[in-house]
Amino acid sequence: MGKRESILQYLITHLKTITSFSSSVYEAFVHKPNEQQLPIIIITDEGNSNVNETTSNSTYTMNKLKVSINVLAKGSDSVATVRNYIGDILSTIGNDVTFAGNAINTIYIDDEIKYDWDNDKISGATINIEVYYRTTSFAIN
Amino acid sequence: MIRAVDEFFNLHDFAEYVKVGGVDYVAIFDDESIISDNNDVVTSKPQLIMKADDVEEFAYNDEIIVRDTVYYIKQIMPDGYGFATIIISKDM
Repeated sequence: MGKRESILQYLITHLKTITSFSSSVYEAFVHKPNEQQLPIIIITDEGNSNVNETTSNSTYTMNKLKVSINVLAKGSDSVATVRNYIGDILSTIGNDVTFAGNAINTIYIDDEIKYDWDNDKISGATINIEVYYRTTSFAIN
Repeated sequence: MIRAVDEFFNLHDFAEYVKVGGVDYVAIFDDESIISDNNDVVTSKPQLIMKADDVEEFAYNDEIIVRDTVYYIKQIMPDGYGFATIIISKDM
């Protein structure tokens, strides 16, 4: 398993330690979640890029991996609930920004909260993070 | 006198009783499945078609009981022809 995969698997495993999400953290959730499945976390690998690090050894590449974390909840107080979940998620990531030594650092970029009010009040947040990690060139997986 | 609008609320067809403030009103209930606009969640959009005259005193967040489920009124939209669409939600 490469570093990119290790980082994402570590993220999934550790987000499941948040009480409300012990069995509801998914990647590549290709269908739309049903409201009965909430609360839920869906993580997405948004892509990797070379950040053009100049090193003495050109066989290494510094990578920036963009990851979005979508968290959804329902109920009258779902806005406040989602805000709390954002705190829980960032706190969990902050416990080890190296993802068990696979990354050099992780940066919180931003988050956005959106609301819907249909059968239930549904609130969702997308948290964007960037994970910086080094690999040998052309060994990104 | 039976008004034209009354003919649409036949209890032997699609109309049923709903309760607001302890009073029964006739309404046609619709709960179509949808994907929410902003969060892409599969949910439903419950709404009622009612007589505009009946809903004049209804207000935002009034409790309305439909099929033994408590909903709250979120939007009242008269159409100008004697009907009104009432958007409801299970969350206050």
